[in-house]
Amino acid sequence: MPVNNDTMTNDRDVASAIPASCFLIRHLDFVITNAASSTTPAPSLLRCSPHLTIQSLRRSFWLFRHLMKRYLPFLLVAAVALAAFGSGAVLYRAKRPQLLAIPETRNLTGKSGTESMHIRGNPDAPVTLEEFGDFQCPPCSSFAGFIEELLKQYDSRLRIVFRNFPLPAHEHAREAALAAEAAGMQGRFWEMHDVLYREQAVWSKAPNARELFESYAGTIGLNLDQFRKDMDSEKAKERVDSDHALGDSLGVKFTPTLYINNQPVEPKDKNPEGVRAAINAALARKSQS
Amino acid sequence: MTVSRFRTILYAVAAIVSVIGLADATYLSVQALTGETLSCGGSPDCFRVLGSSYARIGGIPVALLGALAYFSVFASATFAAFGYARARTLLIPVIGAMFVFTLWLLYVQAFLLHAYCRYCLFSAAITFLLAGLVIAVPASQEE
Repeated sequence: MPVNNDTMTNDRDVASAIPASCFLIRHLDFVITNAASSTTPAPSLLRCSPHLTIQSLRRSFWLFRHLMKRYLPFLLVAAVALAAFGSGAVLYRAKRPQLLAIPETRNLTGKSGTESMHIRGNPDAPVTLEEFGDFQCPPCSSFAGFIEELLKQYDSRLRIVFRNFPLPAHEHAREAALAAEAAGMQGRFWEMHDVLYREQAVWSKAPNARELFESYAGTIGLNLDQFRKDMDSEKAKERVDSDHALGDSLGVKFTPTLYINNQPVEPKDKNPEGVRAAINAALARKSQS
Repeated sequence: MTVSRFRTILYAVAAIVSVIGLADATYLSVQALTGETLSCGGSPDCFRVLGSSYARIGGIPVALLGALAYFSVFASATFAAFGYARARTLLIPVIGAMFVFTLWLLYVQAFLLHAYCRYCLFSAAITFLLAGLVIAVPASQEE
C-alpha cells in the first residue's frame, strides 16, 4: 500500500504543534476504544507519538460528529423553545402598561377651570368608574354601550367619569373631543358623547368631520353659534389637554383605560365579566370599611 | 442530489419557516395577553380581529395555540431532517390541522368580521408554505 510521505510529514507537523493536548487526546482515544474493558491499562504520556495523536484527533472528530448528529436536534429544539419563551416574556414585560393609581387626594367634585370632569350617575356613589377614552376608538364605542348597562345594573352605587384621551393615530379624535367639550359647556356633554359613539363609523371616515359634529350639535339642541365658538375656544383645548396630561402622568397609552375607585383595571379584566367583578369587589371593600 | 438529501433540505426549510411563524404567533400572543388587542393604541388592524370573540378558544388566545403549533412543526421538522422517522409521521397531521384551522380563520376575517389582520394573513401564508413543503417531500421515500 503506497504511503503518502507528504501527508505523514504534515500530520507530524500538526501533532508536534499541539503537544500540550497530546495526553488528553490519547486519553480520549483510550476511553473511546476501551470503554467496555476495565482491565486495559491507561495510556501514558510517554506512549504519545505524533502519528497516533492524529489518528486520535480524527477519531475524536468522528465522535464529535456522531454526538452532534444524535443530540443536535434536541439542542436546536431546546434553544428555539428558550428563545421563543424568553423573547415572549421580555416583550410581555415591555408592552404591559405600567399604570399608576390615581392619587386619592385628587378632587372628584366636578369640572372647574381648565379641568374637564364629566360625571354620569349618582355623584355620591361608593364606586367610581373612570374611563380614559377616544371618540374614534371602536372598542371605546363598544364600551360606551356597556356603560349604559352598568348604570342600569348598579343604579345609585356607581358613577362614571369620562376623560378625553384622543390618540394621535385617529385623525378626527381630537376634534371630536373638542366637540364633546363644547357641548359640555352648554350642559350636554353626555348627549354629545353618546351621539359621537353612536355615529362613530360615519364621521370617522368623513373628510370634514366638523360639519357632522355641528349637525349633531343641532340634533341635541345646542346653540350652534355658541357651539362653534366653544369648539375653537382655548378653554375647550385646555380641558382636552388637561385630561390628556393626566393620562400621560398615569402611564395611559391605550384606550379605553379604566380605573375603578382610582385603581387601574388590568387589561385582562377589560371585558364585561372582568369590569363587573372589579366593581363588585370595590363595593364589597366599601361596605366593609 | 439524492432523494434523501432533497428530503432533508425540505425538512430543514420547513423548520426555518416554522420559526418565522413562531415569531409571528409569539408577538400576537403577547398582544393578546397584554390586552393590547382589545384597545386602541396598538396595531390598528389587529384589534378588530384579535379583539373579537373568535380570537379565543375557551379563554385561550388562538395566537398562543398557533405558537404551540408552530413550535410542534419546528420540533418535528428538525427531528425529521435528522432522520427521525416518527417525526415525519407527526409533522403531516399537525400541518394538516393548521391548514384547516387557517382556512376557518380566513373565512372568519373575510365573511364574519369583514376585517383583516396583517399578522394573521402573514401567519396564513406561512402555514400554506409549510403545507406546500410537506406535500413536496417525495412520497415514495416516506417510511
